[in-house]
Amino acid sequence: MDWSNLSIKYARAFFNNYGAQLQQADFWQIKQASSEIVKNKSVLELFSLYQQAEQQKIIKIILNHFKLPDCFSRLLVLLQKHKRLLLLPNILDEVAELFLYKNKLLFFQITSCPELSASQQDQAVAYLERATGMKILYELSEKQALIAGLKMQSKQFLYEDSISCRLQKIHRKLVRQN
Amino acid sequence: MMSLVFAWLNFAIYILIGRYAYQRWFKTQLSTAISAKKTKLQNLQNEVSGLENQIKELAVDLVLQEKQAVDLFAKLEKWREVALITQQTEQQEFANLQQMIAKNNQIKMQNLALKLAQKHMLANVVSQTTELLCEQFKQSENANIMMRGIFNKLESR
Repeated sequence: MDWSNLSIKYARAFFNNYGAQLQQADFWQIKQASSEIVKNKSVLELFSLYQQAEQQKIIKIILNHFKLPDCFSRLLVLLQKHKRLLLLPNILDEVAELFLYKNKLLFFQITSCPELSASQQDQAVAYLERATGMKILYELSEKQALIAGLKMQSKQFLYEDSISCRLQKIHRKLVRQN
Repeated sequence: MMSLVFAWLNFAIYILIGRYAYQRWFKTQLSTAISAKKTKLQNLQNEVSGLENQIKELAVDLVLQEKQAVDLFAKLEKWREVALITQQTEQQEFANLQQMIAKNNQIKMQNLALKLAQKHMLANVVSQTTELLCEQFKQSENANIMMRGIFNKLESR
């Protein structure tokens, strides 16, 4: 079975019902929840061991822990009923993507070395908004592997200007020449 | 004298009776037997002549087949010689091919070794350059210059 397609179907169904209730803050919570659940998938397997009343409590605990809206409890119950709880992180990712699409937003992972100042952040975001014509949500991080430079990446776009990138280009060129 | 005459008369009568009996009973039987024997003889003669003809034809065939056998043997000999020559040339060609493949493989191995050495050298150069650049860009001035350049580019776009 194609799990990816199945996740998309669940996400679309969820978003059709509850998408209007989601706020920008929820987007960040959804992303965080997805990345943390991926790291601890075994928790989802344990979930099925509890009885229904306890499962409700656990769902509340999960929603409180990740600060997810209450509407996600229905998704969790449905997934438990269909025995497809392991799809949860994929579905969360798809919901986040749908949120971005419906609100005409783009999510960028901005990594740099050294860390960007506030004005540089503004400049980078302004450039991205100019280039894509959409509003930008972003996550900043510092990455020593760049040596020095900037990398801005979304699902569709990539902008990179860094020493490591230039070094890789030179390396690839030399390898090709050989 | 009388008895001599009677004797001759008796003799003549016996002869006449004998002739009559011969002509009446034995002549036809003898003639049919003789004619049957004659036809049998004729048939046998015909068969003999047929067999003689067959023997002659067989002899001719035998001579022809002998000639063909000799020709075939000669051809076989020729073919054997040709086959031997082709086998020898094929063996030679095969040996040449093997030699060529071995040489090619040797060249390929040498090229591969050279490429590997070059790749290793390149990887070393890249890692050393990376280290050097890391050292260079640890100083905030250089990193800031780089970032300024990047943001100038972004501004100009």
